Amino acid sequence: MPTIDVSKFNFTTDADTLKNNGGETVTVTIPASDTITGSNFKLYSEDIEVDSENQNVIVYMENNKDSGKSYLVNVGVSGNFTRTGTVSATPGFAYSLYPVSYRVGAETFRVGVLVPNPYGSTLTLTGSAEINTFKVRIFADTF
Amino acid sequence: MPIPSVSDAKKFRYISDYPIDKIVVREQDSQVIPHASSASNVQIFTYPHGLSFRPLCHGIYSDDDFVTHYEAGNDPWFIFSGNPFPKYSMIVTSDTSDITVQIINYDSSKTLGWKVFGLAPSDAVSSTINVPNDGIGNFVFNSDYNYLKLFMDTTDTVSVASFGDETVTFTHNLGYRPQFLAWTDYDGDAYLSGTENSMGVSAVSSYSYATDTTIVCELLSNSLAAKDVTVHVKIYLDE
Repeated sequence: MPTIDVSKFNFTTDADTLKNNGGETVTVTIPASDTITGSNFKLYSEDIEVDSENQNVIVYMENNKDSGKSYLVNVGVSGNFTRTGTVSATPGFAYSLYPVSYRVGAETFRVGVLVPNPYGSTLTLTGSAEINTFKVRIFADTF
Repeated sequence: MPIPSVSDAKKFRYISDYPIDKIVVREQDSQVIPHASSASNVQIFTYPHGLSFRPLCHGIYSDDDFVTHYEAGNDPWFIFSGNPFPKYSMIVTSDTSDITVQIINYDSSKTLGWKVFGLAPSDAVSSTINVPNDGIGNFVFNSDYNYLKLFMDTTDTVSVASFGDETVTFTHNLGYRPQFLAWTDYDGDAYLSGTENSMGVSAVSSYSYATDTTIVCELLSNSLAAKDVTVHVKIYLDE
């Protein structure tokens, strides 16, 4: 292996780095007043094509009800988007959005929002659509 | 010949005015991971990194020899009794001596593989090290790729009160929401922001986001004691 002082060079061809070789921006919409049956969930998602193995993917998400923020998507951001919906004609029931991103096949990457209904009866979501914009950044294999 | 404006730097695949990250350590392994009957069945694998600083790690893992794979902290889901659960979870952390992979498998026993790497932190001491570069490919520098241009590479340390929360803000003023990565560093271990709770409730959890002017890391304590938390952030010119 080559030897370098990592604190001294802006760029050294001896060290590997994150090499961005693709990316896509996709929108996942949660329809206004959509319904989820009791103790069930819905996954609102879009798939994108990725073209080779072993790539690293970093995903950011923006939500139109939390505008101006681009969240680093991973398990830690799940549950930070809390909304209130209606159950059995009674408003004020809290539910959460869980942004997810993962591969579903060798060349298919899925981004989406899971919405579980923790209640025993049908949950009607908030009355305006939620537009979630996922910025997917793909990096060449680091091995 | 016109000199490119620095304000256009993000349009270039590489510009020497800005540093790029250096991968200073890599590890690859696979192991049979038994079915986890509870959240405490975390499998832990450590790899000495031999560095004089703590690398900032990330990585991928796979259940089919990397035909399909997942990012650490972005796990695949399955449905059990109508509720979504992660099928597996993996995180990678580091301390001053080791890289640690923690992995849990809620599916049937199977071989899982992982490939993890560590970036040099902003506070890397001046020291001569061996860097792994066998993955660079056929070209030492390849203009097919966009090289992430480090606009800011820094840290901030705050004390988070017992069961309290803190907001750590880094100002970039780029006027757009740039790509970034953030890690939290407490009790001697560095975690990719957002992955702290993946293997059970940790002392600190976090999530991070970009605005047009800042990178914000929200910290939440789950600890009986106050914690000093260092947030490492890498802010790139790239969108």
